[in-house]
Amino acid sequence: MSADPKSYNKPQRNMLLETDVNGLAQAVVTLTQEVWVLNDRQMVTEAVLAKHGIDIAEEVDTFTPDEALQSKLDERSRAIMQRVFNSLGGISSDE
Amino acid sequence: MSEELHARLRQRGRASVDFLANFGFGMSDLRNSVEEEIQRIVPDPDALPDDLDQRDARMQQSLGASQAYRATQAVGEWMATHHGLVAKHAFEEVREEMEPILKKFEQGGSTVEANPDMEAPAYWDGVDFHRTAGGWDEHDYQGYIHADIVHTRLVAKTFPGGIFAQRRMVAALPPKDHYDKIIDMGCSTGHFTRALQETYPDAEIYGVDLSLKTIQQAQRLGNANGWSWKLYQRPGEDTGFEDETFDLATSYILLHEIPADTIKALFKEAFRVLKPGGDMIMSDVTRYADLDKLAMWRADAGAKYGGEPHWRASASLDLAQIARDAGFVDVTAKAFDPFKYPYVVQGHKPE
Ligand SMILES: C[S@@+](CC[C@H](N)C(=O)[O-])C[C@H]1O[C@@H](n2cnc3c(N)ncnc32)[C@H](O)[C@@H]1O
Repeated sequence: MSADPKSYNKPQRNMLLETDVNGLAQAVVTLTQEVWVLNDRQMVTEAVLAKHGIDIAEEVDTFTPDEALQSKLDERSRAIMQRVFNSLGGISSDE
Repeated sequence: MSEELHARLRQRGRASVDFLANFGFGMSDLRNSVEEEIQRIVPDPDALPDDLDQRDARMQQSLGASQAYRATQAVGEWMATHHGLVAKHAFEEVREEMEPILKKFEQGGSTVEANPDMEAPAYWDGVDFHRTAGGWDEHDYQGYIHADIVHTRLVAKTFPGGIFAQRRMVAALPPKDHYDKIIDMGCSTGHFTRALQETYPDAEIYGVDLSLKTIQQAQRLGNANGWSWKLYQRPGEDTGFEDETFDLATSYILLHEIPADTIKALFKEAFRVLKPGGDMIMSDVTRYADLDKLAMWRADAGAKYGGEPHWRASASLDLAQIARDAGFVDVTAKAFDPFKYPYVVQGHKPE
């Protein structure tokens, strides 16, 4: 058995270099923008619905997307991740 | 998994779990870029150092110059440390409605024998396998969280070959059409046990595992399907069953989680508890011997940062020889293409 298997719980790992903080800052701002756009959309959606007398909070919480919506959601989340991860890795995204 | 046991997650948990499920796709540009870099710096895998630690040092040093590689590592580290937490939080959001259902399926023909006095072995106790905080047993419902959220909603989505189809394929490999009594070692939440029961519907199945929380989930799975599994919190290398009890002894991806001497003991135990004429089938991860030096490095680095302290030693073993040393005859070993996974060893206890 290797010396102490518990040493694998938190392996020593230097992932980023000092030079990466620039990319990191870009990524964090990109992410903040994305989070904001979503927050805005959600609050606006709820406000529009409330105007029509509909409270959707609980239904949203328990909603199961159908296949068509799920694949749209998947596509969107992959695109967001790519934007953030790519800016961290210094890869230019088309978007 | 029975529909009733499959939780309907709330939005936050559901979207967070989906986020994890899509992670690999989100990393695809980074990965492609790193791949190009690897091809450039390793034109000939054979020229890499023989020693695995030196090989890793060489790779880390060369790849460390790539910003995309560093980003891959950093983002991957987030996944390693967060998947268990996200899954746990998703469960906590539905705990109240799921708990009665989980309790209901703890009743029925499938039973669990807990072993509170068991001295958990040092190779397992306190180890966060897969970097999941707390390992296999931390949370009350860790087995459920693993089976329903981590395996079914995450791993199953992208695992090459499909985690359930692969188990069914392997369960059908033993030579006989029928087995009366089967022991599944390291049965965990029962995914392979299920494949066995579906393949041999009349078999009486026993499962052993060190982790109580996972066999409690196996129990729920068994009961939800009307099966009567006898599950024990016991080590596979020391099952406590009488000599010559079973017709088939199995394990599925248990061996890479235990040290080499325990693997040898486990094969001997399988031999001991099998009836004369009984069969053995043990499946595990790709052998290092089936990989070139670069692919071996990938597997080894994955283990090092993926909470797998025993993987290297285990994947380096010749399991067929260990089976023969334990007394098995007609031993065969087969690595399934395209990834040489799973690696399946079969043998027979002489009459
Ligand atoms: C990857 S899981 C097994 C997967 C399972 N067979 C399946 O088909 O999904 C590994 C399991 O082995 C258990 N384990 C580790 N060492 C063991 C031992 N010596 N005896 C029995 N179980 C063990 C762990 O608690 C864990 O539940």
